Amino acid sequence: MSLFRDLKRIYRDGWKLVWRNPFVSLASIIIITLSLFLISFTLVFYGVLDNSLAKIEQRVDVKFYLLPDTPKPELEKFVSQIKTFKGIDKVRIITKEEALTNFLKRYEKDQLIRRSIDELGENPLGPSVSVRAKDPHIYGKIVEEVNKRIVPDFPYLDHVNYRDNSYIIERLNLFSSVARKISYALIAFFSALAVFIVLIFMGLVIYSAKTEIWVKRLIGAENRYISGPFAVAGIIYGFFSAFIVVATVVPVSSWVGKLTQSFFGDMNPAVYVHNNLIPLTVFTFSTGMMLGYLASMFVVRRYLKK
Amino acid sequence: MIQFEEVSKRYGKSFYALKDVSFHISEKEFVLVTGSSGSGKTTILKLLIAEEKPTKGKVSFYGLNVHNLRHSDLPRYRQKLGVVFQDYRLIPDKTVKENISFVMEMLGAKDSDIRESVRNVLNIVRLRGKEKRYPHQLSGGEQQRLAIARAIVNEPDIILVDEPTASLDKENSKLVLDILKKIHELGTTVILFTHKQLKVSHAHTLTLQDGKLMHDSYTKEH
Repeated sequence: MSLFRDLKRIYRDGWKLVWRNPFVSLASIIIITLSLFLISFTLVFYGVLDNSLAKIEQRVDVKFYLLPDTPKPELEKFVSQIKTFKGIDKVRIITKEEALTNFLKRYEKDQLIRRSIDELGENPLGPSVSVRAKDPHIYGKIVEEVNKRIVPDFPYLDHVNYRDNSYIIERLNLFSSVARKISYALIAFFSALAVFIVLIFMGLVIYSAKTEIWVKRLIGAENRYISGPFAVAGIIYGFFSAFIVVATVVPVSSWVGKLTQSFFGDMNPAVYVHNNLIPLTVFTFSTGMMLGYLASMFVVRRYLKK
Repeated sequence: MIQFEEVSKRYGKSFYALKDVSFHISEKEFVLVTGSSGSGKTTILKLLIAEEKPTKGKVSFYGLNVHNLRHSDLPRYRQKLGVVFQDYRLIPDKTVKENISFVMEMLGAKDSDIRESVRNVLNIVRLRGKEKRYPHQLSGGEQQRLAIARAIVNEPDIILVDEPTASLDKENSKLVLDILKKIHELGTTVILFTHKQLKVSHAHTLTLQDGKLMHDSYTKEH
């Protein structure tokens, strides 16, 4: 018995199942398409939310303000020590001069402050060190480590803005953690719902072919001849459904992106989809075909066990 | 070839479709299993194709207990049988040719062998020229003949035919019976289940009533 010949026949019978039952095939494609839309848009939503949160988190940092007379070697030593800590993403020095420039820019319309600076005649600001962590949850630990390991031998630390911002940082951490958990739950829920809908519908589709299954069993067909064509049909339905989803996700996400531009800013759905089009396409096609295949096989197996 | 030894089949708590039925069928016989509706004919058919299991007794095929076969061995056993169901059970979205050829495809036959076999059986059942039609485009008699063609295409050891003339007129009934006789002449054991009184010379007749075997023409009367 030639395996290639068997596969060819199973593939051919699968196609026949699809195009000889056009209404059933169309209905199956619609159902799988709707399910894929559910999954895909939930994932895009999660992707956009995750990226937006990541962008906000990236803006969070901790600043160590140093005294104006901090010697440069001490400043550099301070920075190099911080760089040895675990979880540090970026460390940036803001020089006294930069600090003054930024300060004057922030208060350029405030004449009183500008006059006060002019009267001082010198730069009252000291350098600062901005530290960004890979994980915003560890800023507290970083400050603790600095206080424990560096500050005892470093008399030039003026103050740390972590205490002022810790409430905001913690609220942000809490919000992003909760938002991500809700997103995971939504993904899981909608994925399960999508799979459930497809299973129920494929059950109806295959029920309508139960005569064929019954006859094949009673004439002695091996299981692969009975289930194979349905598996092929399921994969074909999944493929066409994925095609529809991928073809519509770009214009739909553009439309949604325009509506949500002010909220999500740069990372709106259109941008996310554009940047991740290839992985999203691969994911949609593989999910669609897998969904069609597994649903068909799961339902047909029940008839084969009887 | 086929042996029923004290076979009983009970449905529910007390209804016996078959009770202590014993008979033997040899190769190349033409067997008529007769009896009125509810006499147990279809139950015998179902036991033979292992769609049902006996409550008591043993059904053997060439010495093998059919109902002790593993689930995975059932397809190979069923491939030795050709079955024609009372309601034909044709596959509606396959053409005449496809309804016949898929049986041989299940066995892994080559396309050239399938083509030849399909041509031969279509000749036997007189459906040449209707290969591309679908079952719903055939008459009742033609559907019956198509069902027979499907049952014989892989040259089974036995063909089991359930009420082949039940819904046919006299002419079509005769045609179907002639086809079955021809198949028998070619060397296939034919077991025909019918409530009608059919005239088939040299046939082995088993007569059932209320689940019991009343008469076996090859043994002493029961």
